[in-house]
Amino acid sequence: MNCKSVLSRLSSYIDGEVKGDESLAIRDHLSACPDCREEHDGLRNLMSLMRSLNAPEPPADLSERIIANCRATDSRKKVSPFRLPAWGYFGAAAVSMIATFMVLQMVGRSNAPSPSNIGKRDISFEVQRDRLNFGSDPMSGAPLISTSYSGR
Amino acid sequence: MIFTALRENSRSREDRTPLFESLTRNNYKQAYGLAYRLTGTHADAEDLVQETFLRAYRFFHRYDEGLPFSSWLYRIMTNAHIDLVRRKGRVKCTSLESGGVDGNVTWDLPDHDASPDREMMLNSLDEPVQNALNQMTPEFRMAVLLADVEGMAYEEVAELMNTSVGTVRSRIHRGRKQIRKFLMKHAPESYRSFCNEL
Repeated sequence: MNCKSVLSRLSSYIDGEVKGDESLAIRDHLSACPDCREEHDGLRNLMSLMRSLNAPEPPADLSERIIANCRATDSRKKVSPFRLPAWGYFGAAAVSMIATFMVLQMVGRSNAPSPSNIGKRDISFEVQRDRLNFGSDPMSGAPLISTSYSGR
Repeated sequence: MIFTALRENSRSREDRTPLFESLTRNNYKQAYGLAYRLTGTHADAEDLVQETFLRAYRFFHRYDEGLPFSSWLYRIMTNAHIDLVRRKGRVKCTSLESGGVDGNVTWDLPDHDASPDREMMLNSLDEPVQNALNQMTPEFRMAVLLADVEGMAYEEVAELMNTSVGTVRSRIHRGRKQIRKFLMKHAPESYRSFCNEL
C-alpha cells in the first residue's frame, strides 16, 4: 500500500472500520512510514479531544418546556374551529360528492328537450337536410322533394 | 373500517403519550448536547431541540420501541437541522475574532478523575473546536459529531443520514482533517499541550 491510499483510510482504520488484509497492510505501512504515522497519531489525538469535550448543560426546565410545547399542539388541534376530526374529512367529502351529483342531475333535466319541441325540431331538421342533399329544381326553383313528411 | 383504524390510531397515540414524555426526560440532555455542537449557540440549540421533539411527538406512532429512541431522534434532528439551515439561508459561521461562541455558556463537569490542568485545557479548546465545527457544512459536521461525540458506527451514521457508508467515511475523514488544521492554526499551543498529555 502506498502513502496516498493509507492516508485516505486512516480515519476508518482508527475507527476500526477497516478489516482483514487491508487493516494489516495499513498497520505494516504505518510501522515503516514516519510521515503517515505522524498523521495517524494526529487524527487519533483529535478524536480523543472530540470525545473528551464537555457536554453543554441545557436550561433546567427544558424537558418540561418541550413536553408542554407538545401538549400545546394537541390542545390547539382540539380547540381550533377550523380543524375537523379525521372522520370529518371523509364525511365532508361524501356530502360534497352527493351535492355535486344532485346539482348535475338537476341541470341535466332543465336542459332536456320537451316532447312538444321534439316533433317540430325533427321535421325542420329533416327538411333542411333534404334540401342540402337534393337541392331544388333548376327551372322552377321548387324543392325536388316533397315537403310533407309522413303525414305531418 | 377506515373510521375504526383512525380511532385506533388516535387512541394508541394517547396511550403512548406517557412513554413519549418519559423518553423525552431521559434523552433531552444528550439531544441538547448534539444540538449545541451542531448550531453553535444556546438559543439555536434550544430551537433545534424543540423542533426535533415536536416532530418526534407528531410521528411517534411510527417509532418502533425495539430500536433506540436516541437514534430515531437524531435522524429527526439531522433533517430538522438541515431544514433550519436552509430556512436561514446560510451556514452558521462564527467570527474568529469574536470573544466567545455564546455569552452565557455553562458546562457539565462529569469527569471527576480528570486533572484540573486537563480540565482547563479542554475548556480552552472547546471554543476553537466549536468554531471549527461552525465552519463546516451541516452534513460534514453531523457526520463527525455522530461518530466522534456520539460514538456511532459508520453504518449507523449512514443509515441515520440517509446516505452511503462511503460518503460517511469521506465526510468524517475530511471533517476531522479540517478541525485539526483549524486547531493547529488558531489554537496551536493548547492543542499541542493536549496532545502531549495523551
